[in-house]
Amino acid sequence: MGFRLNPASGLPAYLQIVRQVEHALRTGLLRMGDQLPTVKQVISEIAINPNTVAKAYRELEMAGWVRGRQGVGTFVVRCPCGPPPATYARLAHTLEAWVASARREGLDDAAMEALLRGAIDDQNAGVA
Amino acid sequence: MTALVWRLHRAQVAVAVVLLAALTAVLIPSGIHMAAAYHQALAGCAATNRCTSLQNTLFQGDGLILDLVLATLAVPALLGMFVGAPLVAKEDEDGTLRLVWTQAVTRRAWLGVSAGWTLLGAAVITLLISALVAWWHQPEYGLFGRLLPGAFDIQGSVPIGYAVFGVALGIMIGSWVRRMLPAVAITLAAFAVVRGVVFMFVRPHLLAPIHLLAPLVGAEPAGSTTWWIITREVVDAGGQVTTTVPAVCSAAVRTDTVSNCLAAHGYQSAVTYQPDSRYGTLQGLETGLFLALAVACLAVAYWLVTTRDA
Amino acid sequence: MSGPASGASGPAIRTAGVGKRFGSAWALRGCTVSVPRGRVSALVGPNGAGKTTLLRLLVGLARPTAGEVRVFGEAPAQTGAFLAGVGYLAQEAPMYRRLSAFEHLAVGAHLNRVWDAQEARERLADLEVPLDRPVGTLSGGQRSQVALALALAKRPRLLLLDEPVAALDPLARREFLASLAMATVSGDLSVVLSSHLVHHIEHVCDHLILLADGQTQISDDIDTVLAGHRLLVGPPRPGAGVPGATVIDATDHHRQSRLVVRLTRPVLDPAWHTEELSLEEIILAYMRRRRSAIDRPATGIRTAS
Repeated sequence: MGFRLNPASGLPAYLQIVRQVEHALRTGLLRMGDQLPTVKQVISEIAINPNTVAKAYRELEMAGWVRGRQGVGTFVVRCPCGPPPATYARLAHTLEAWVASARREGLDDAAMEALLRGAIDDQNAGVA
Repeated sequence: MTALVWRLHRAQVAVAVVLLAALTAVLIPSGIHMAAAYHQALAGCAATNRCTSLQNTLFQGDGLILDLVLATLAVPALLGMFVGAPLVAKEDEDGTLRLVWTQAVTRRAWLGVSAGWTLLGAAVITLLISALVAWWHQPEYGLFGRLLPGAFDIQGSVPIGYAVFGVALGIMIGSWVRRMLPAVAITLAAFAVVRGVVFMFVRPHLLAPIHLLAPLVGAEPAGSTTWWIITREVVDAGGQVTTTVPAVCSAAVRTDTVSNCLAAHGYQSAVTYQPDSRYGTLQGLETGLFLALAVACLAVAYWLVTTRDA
Repeated sequence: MSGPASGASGPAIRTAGVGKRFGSAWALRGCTVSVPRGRVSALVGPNGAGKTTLLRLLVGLARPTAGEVRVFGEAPAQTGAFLAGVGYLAQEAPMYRRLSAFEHLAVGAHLNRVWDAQEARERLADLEVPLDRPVGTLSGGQRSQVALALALAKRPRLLLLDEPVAALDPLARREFLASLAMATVSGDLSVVLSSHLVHHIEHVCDHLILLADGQTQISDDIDTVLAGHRLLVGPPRPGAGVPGATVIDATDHHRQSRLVVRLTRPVLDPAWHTEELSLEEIILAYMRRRRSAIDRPATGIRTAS
């Protein structure tokens, strides 16, 4: 898998990597036993400080997703107990329909994102 | 460090070798020819005892080669300008000083090795040129001596002294000025000034010159063609220097009758000169002087290189 | 904190009130920083802030007019031992233009105590940089890679780079920074690289030194800086302070005030909406703020690390 860094994001680089790995785990791009890219592989793709990669992998290890093996690499040891890929496809389909309808109503990208963000926050507030 | 010095100067060394070879190719045949003509003429005039007029007749046709030999006068200045001045100044301008002075070699060692090899190279080049010119010059010095300015400065050991001084001067000025064109220009000017001052005011007095009173008319003292005449003045019977014709001789109009009249009244020629036999000593003293100046320049350059910011 | 050697035996760089004057003008003044070992530091500031001067003071090409400089505990000296430990790459990567990269590597062995030309040659070959052509005929990106290889071949403990990517196209910049990042994987190398544009270099760096307005504004780890600054947006309150936060820069509009603040504790006032800031936004805020009657101390100066 490849990593990207968003320079305008307020998130520290290591957190962006953590999030991207978590996302990859959830969507099935990374599976049990897969090896995460080595520090050198990451660096050659995005010129990033090796400590940042090490820090991200340590966070993932502390969260229990991966385990680092000295001299070998970092491997996925747990998968998120999330829905199967088919569920993702179905939900994405529903979302596309909503987006199309919102656009017809005249909402722009930012308004749609704000609505979605608001809905998530409300749900979290309701749950917490 | 020597490896770097070589790589940076190898083009210049190639140019010097080519020019030296060309000079040799021109001077060797010319010198052989001159020597043959000289010995022939000498043999001829010895029989008729008219050798003093040789000066006026021999070596008149070799104008271009004479100019070329005289042009070797410029070699120490050129070495100073194009080997000495750029040593520090060019590298500062190019920025490579900040590359090489941040290697572990240290500025001291950098200067020592760079200056050492360039000074040695300059000395060797001028040694070869000086030896070549001295060999070529032998017939001439049989006639004119070696102390005259056109001859003294281009043979023997002084060209080496000039070259070493020129390069050391260039290094010092380049270390101070740090920009190549100004450093080159200032080196040329300073070199010319020092050489001029030494030539005009110091060289005549390196050894106390000999004073002689000679007759105004008649034969020149023996061997005087090889002397370096520093001053020649007319003195009256009492030994006073005069520049005006006295009343008693004012009737004379032509130069030779004036001279006869003056001679008849006890006027003489006061000559200050250095004889050719002092050639070796004078060469040694002037060379020593320039080497001492070179050492002083290098000391200043060392101080500039190690204490100033880069 | 990340970095295997942090806090091991003293900072890589420590300066105390260091300044450099040229004639009557101060190129750098009152600069106090402390950079732990193993960090890759971004030295950022507008042109003329003294970045080049600071780097030259650190390697000993210039001597300070005021204050002290210590690199691994020693003052910079013109000795083989000191120069062997510090690598320097000047602006525009000066090299001997008529010599090839191969010749530079060959000569370097004679100029240094430790010299690993093999690794440099391999790295340059991987990048397809021709080793046999005069360096002056290479592209800017290739020249920079050669210069970096030369600086790393002597295995320094500290590497100083003056605006190494300023003149490079984006691809050459990416490759240069990747090469640099590779060199730091072992953790033994401390790096300071300067740039007047932080977004060029921020991801390869984990530490930030910000020089602006003649002062050291920031000298801290980047993660700490990001975590410690926020943008507060709220109703217009010109001149207002915020408890628990130091205002770095305030922009007051007709309907809104936007404050860039450094936090010492979370802001609880519900009138303020909190947003995170990018590193560049934080730096801009520091560069914009006017010096007030109250001297604001720079953030995060560590006196012992």
